[in-house]
Amino acid sequence: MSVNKENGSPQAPVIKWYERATEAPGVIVSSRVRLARNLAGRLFPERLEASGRQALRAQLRDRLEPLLPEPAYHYQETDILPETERRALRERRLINSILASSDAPMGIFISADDEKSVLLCGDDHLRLQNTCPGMSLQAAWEELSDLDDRIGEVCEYAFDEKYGYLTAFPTNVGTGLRATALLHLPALSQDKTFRKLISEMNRFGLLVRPVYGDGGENYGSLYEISNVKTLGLSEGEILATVQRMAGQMASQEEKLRRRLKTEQGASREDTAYKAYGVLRYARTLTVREAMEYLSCLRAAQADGLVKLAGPVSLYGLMLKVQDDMLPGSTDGSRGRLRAALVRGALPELA
Amino acid sequence: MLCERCKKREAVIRYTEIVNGVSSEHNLCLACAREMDFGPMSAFLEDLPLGWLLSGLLGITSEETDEETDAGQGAGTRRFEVTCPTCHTTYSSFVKTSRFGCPDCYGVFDLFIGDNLKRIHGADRHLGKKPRMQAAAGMGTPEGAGTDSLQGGAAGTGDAPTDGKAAGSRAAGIGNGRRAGWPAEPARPVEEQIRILRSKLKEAVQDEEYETAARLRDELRSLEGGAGK
Ligand SMILES: [Zn+2]
Ligand SMILES: [Zn+2]
Repeated sequence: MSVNKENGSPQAPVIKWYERATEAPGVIVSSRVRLARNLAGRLFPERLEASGRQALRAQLRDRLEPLLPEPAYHYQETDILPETERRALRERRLINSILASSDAPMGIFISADDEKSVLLCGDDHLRLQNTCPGMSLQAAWEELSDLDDRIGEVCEYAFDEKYGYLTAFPTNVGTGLRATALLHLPALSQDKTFRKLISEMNRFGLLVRPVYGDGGENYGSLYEISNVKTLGLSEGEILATVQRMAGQMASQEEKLRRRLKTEQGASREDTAYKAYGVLRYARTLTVREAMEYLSCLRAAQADGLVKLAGPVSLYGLMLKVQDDMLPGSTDGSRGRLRAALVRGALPELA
Repeated sequence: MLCERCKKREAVIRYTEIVNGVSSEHNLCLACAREMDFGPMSAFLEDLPLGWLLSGLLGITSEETDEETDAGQGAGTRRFEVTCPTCHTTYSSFVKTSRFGCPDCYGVFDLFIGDNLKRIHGADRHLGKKPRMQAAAGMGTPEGAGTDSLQGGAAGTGDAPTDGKAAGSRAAGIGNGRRAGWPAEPARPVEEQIRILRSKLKEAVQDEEYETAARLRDELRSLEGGAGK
């Protein structure tokens, strides 16, 4: 229900970035940049009473609408959405989990392909975001910076010579930039050097964290790497560091996979076909099952161990099998919907 | 605004005293404020940073509670707080939530957050892009429309305290960062004047000539307010 909401129009639906199929899915799944911006001389949203926050949201919407017109963008107020749909926005990485559970007045412009969004009256007055498939931090940044400039022409930003762009949380002050690469690391995350690698990233001011999983567990082997520091570094330096380190992790993953393919090719092939079999024929799937088999199949497809007859975005499926992306109300009904979704999307073997 | 105690010097401290939930506000000059007992806050008054002078009245709140103390003193306890004059965020609430209430908080809590920022970011000074184009006049919209302006004016929403100064003087930001948004281009005469005034102001503060400082500050404000026109 929530998945294709914006696609309900009679025109050809715009494909979301994560639905775009690739034949050899890369280790770097996507690149995301986010900017926190605030208006000069205004209280931050959390400090406003509901009426003031609504008024500010309306003013911001009026200002931004000409820059973010329909049908390329769709505007949505989040406080009138049921919580399930707000959580789906979170799964799509358009708002964070704290905001997903809040019914304070917020609004969001979302581009039809889900790449660009501008959140109004969240933690900051404005949060601008752009996501592109693959390793394209620089391209994502250039587009976002351009949007930032255009918004800066109609809104006076709170900016200080010393501290840069002023944000509600001092952890974002300065550039207000968070650059994130999403990586698929099924081999590297199983390697004994992984833990050390993560703490090494911390030394470069980067944070690596698993995207899915409960407690210490992780399923799907998806990891995000992003900058912690936002002050005292230029945007270019931040992007370059994330890009370099994400690239380094990706090439280590690729090296490991090549080694595994030569050393354990037959058993890896067997595991991949079993995963395909379950995904293709199961009548019910838990999130964990779906994620593990999709992750296995994605790596096998990338490594040329399994060939599929048609195009599919396996990462797109990993996103859509999440609980909050499915309309079912019980684990049982979601399990059946999840299995049906995967069965319907998965092509024949080539 | 003149100090309510000596009625001679410019008030730079807004002192809010809360006794058993009843609050009263006093505006004091630095000399008079120094004669009062602000507990641990007194030390900060000895070295008032420039940013505070520029961002308007520095708020100090003292709260006296009725609680029975272990020592059995009837007087209760007194707590002193630096408070942002614009959004009323106190330093202890910032420590609790790690979030600020408005852009002015950065100027008000400047002294306290420097070390923290250094720890988080490894730096305490912005490098990177600047707003390419700040709206020409502090208050005006680019189209010249007036009322629904998003340009500054904490007073605009009705949620911010209005001390009559907020709208004009803080609109463009805080502290020495004001008018920072201009693109890098050769300094213009007005900007040159601003630069000179600013260094004079710094000297005045260092020499503790606060009346001169207050006059220079007002001059700076009017210059900066008109710089974009
Ligand atoms: Zn006095
Ligand atoms: Zn404040």
